[in-house]
This record gives sequence, C-alpha cells and structure tokens, in this order.
Amino acid sequence: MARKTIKVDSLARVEGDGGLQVLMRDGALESAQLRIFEPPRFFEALLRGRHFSEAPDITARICGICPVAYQMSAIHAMENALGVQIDGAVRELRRLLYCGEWISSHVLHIVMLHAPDFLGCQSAIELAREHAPLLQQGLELKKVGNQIVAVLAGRAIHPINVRIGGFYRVPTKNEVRELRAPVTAAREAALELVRWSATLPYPDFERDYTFVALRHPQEYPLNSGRIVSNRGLDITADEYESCFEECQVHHSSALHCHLDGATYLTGPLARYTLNSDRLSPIAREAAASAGLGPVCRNPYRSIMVRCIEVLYACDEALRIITAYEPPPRCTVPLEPRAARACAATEAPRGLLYHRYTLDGDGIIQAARIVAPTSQNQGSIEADLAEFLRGHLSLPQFELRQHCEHLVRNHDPCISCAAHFLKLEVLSR
Amino acid sequence: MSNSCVIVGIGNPARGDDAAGHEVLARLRGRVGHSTVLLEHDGNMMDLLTVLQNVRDVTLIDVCVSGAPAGTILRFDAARPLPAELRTHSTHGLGLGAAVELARALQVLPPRCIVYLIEGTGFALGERPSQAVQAAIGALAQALAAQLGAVHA
Repeated sequence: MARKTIKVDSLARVEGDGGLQVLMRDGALESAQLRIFEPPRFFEALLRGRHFSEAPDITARICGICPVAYQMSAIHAMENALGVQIDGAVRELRRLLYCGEWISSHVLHIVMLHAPDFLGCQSAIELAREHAPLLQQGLELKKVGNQIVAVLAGRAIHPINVRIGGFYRVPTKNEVRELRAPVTAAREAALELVRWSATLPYPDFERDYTFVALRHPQEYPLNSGRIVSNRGLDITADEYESCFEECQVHHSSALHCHLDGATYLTGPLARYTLNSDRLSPIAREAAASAGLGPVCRNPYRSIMVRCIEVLYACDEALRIITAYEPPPRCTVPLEPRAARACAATEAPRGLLYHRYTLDGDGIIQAARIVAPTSQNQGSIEADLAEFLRGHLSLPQFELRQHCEHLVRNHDPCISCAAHFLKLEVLSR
Repeated sequence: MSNSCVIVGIGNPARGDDAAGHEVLARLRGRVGHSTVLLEHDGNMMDLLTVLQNVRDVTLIDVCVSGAPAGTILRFDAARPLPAELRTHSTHGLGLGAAVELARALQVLPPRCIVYLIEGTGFALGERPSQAVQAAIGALAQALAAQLGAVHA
C-alpha cells in the first residue's frame, strides 16, 4: 500500500491560520478536512458580565476585516432585547456603514487574494508587477470603502462611533456630501471590475448547495431580513437555533454548523441567488451583461458575485448619501430589562448570528456568536471532496493549487471562526 | 506631504515592545524640523501602501521577532529588495516587507525608503516596552535626530 504526502506549509492569501488535510486510501479519497487549529478566543465568555452597551466595541474586535458586521449583529440583537426599533436616517447610516465595509472587504479579497488564482500569479506582489492597473484600481476602491467607514464610525478599523440605539455622533450633511464624488468614482470603478471579472477563465464546476441568506421584502440584505434558504427555510433570527446546530469536530477548533444535520452555504453565492431580484438596476444589468444568471452554483464565480456586490454597495451608498438629512437625534433612550434576543446580519462572508441574554440591569448573562466561516466550513470540505474525486490523477502540485483556489473561493476568515493554511495530502 | 520627510512609527502602543515605533516618534517630537512629518501607524499594511504612494522620503520603524537578542536594531535600505523573511502570507499578517515590495511592484515606492526594525520579545497587553527595547528606542531616536539635524542644518 503506497503512502504519499503532499504538504503545503504556507497556503497564502487566506485570512487567518488553518490547515487542510486530504486523506487518500488505495487511490480513493477518504476525507478532506479544513483544519482550524488557531485556539478559540472566548469572545462569548468575555462578553458575560459586561454591560449591554459594551457589546459593539467588544465584538468589533473579533475581526479587523469585518468589524462593522460584528457590531451590527450585536446592536440589532441588543435593540431587539430592549424593545427598540431604529429607522429613518440612523437606519440608513447603518446601511451606509455596512456598504463601506462590504466594499473594503470584498475588494481586498477580489484583488489581493482571489485574482492571483485566475491570473496565474503566486502572490499579490507578482500580480502588482503584471497587472498594476487592476491592483491600483482595487486600492482606490478599498480606500473609498475605508473612507465611508471612517466618516461614520470614527475610524476605518475597529469602529468606535457605533452604539446601541444609534451613533455617538452622526455626520453633518457636509461630511456625508463629501463622500459623493469618491463614491461616484468608485461606482464607475466597480462597474469596470464587473466587466473584468467576466473575462476570467472559470472552471466548469457546480454544486447543488443549500444556500442560506437573509431576505428583506424590498432591500438586498445587509442589516435585516428573514433567514431563508433555497430549500424552503423561512424563519426569523429568533428561530435560528431550532434549525441550525453547531457541533465540535476533532480536526478543528472552530465549531461546524449544520442545517437540519447537513452542510449549507452562506455568503455572496447564497445572498445573490436568493436575492438577485433585490439588486439595484445598475447591478442587475451589470450581472446580466457579465453573463451571470439569477442563480450561481459555481463557487469559482464567487469573484464575479463579489464584484456585483461591490457595485451594488457603491450604488446603494450613493443613494443614501444623496438623500441624507441628519436625524434630529443620534440615539434613542434605552431602558435595560431582562431579555433574551437574537439578530442576524450579512457580513461580507455570510450570515452572522448573535444571541444575548440580559438581566434586569442590562448585564450580559450569556452570548452566542456564529460566524460565517463556521457555517461554511462543511461546504468548503464538500467542494474539496467533490473536486478531488474527479481529479486525483492530477500532478500533486496542480492538485494543491486547485485545493487552495477552492478554499479561497469562499474567502474564509479563519480568525473569525476561531489563522495560515497548511495542506496535507496523505495517501495510504 | 509629498515633499516632506516622513517617519512612520508602526505598531500597537498598548502591547509591550510593539510600542517601539510609536515611542521613537514620541522622543523625536520637538527635536525635528517642520519639514519632517511624524506619523503613527496602527500596522494596517494596506493603508501603509497609501502612505508610501504619497511621499518621496520615508523612514519606517517597526518591531520584529527574528530570534536576535532583544533590542537589536536592524536597518534595511529598500533600494534593494527586502529579505523574504520580512514578508508574511496572510492578509491579517500582510507584513511591512510585503507592503514595501507591493509598493515597488506598483512603482510607487518612494525614492528613499529606509526600514528600521527593533527586535521585540514581549507583547502583553498593557505592558511597557522591555528594558532592552527601551534602550534601542532611545538609541534609534538619537541617531535619527542627529541624522535629520545634519540633513536639515
């Protein structure tokens, strides 16, 4: 019985450290496991005993790429607990803030992490040498995303101006108006990016995913909506834990989440497939022109969907900026009360669920956070298994490249889920 | 900022030896001319790339862990490629070296770019820099002040 080991000590261009082990026995695939060995950071335990008002600042520290998503899920859950509904200009500002994060996070992944896979480059540095205009365009777009977040939230990373009930300070009309020119230019750049994404070579690979995303009656989902799937699921965030179950697996320090015992996918592919009719006209037309139908099951095309979502986020940001009138109050009064409440929002990588229990003084008694990567791990492993079954005869180097690309299709944020990917292929 | 000399102190001032870049800037304040801009930076290397795009003369000060004795000061002139060991692979850890090489590939690397790295050992939250790193901070600040004084005299 031959034994073969392929080991990649440093799979680049993923956010965080983790590993991948592919086990083959007698030439057949036995298992493909995404191994996250970064130790848990115990954020849920850190939140216990803290005042409800501290949750946005604590949860923002979970991720340097998508802190707004963590803040927003925490804020909506707390506001649900306290019986507060926020609308009007403050709700619009939150949506604008989320647009800023989507632009920044998506463009980082599209240009720096994912594009090298399609263009045959080994790194962003090589990409910069051979495709400098693309990288420059990406950097400009990312700068605009950061600028939106900084204007609304005090700074681009780990925002500090967001609070339960609203903001500590809302921007003046002039401050928001100054975003108009850069966001208008960003929308043009995003349209170019969609056209560029249509020229990439996409492998013919599809899977029949169970897609899970938020769905809102009118909007492409960011902050709110019901949790739906393409298999008939339609629930509120309060019902999440009755359908979704996290379990521990021996090969990963991140929990795996299942829907009715099976893997499912959140993130751009799911959001787009379940909500393409909610895109703005410019984004919908761009998707059609790029050859993207209303349903996308090819994970490689996630780069194209991210480009569409960047375009949408720029367009939506521009709509909010144009209509902005500062609200009369930047926050609403809050009365602590004993409650248990949940919320889910759409982080760039997918659905992000938070649940909190508060006592009568507003002290957090329990917290639960389910990150998108925890939910997507099973689907990433299933993608790998399906691909490997048909391609085990490929040379090892090529096989490894394909596996890395498959993982990057889903932009996993390993740090959020529990960092560096190692690929190990064992043949027994 | 484009015609200025910019000194960027990189790191997290609340994490022990990682505060070294910021501490060097603190000791240079009041000792350098108006044409020198002192810029504190949190270590987000994508944003550092934006800084590099807009200057002609930059000095970058950061902390490294290379296994050398604590407080060792390393100096690199980015006129030549930085050692590969300074580049890391994940986006969370897009290193100083990667940011400089990215700027070079994009042809936006400032004509003069000097990198100083101080060897650190302790990065606990709320801790002050270790004695060895404090000594290195003082020595580097002194050397840079003297150098800038000589250049701008």
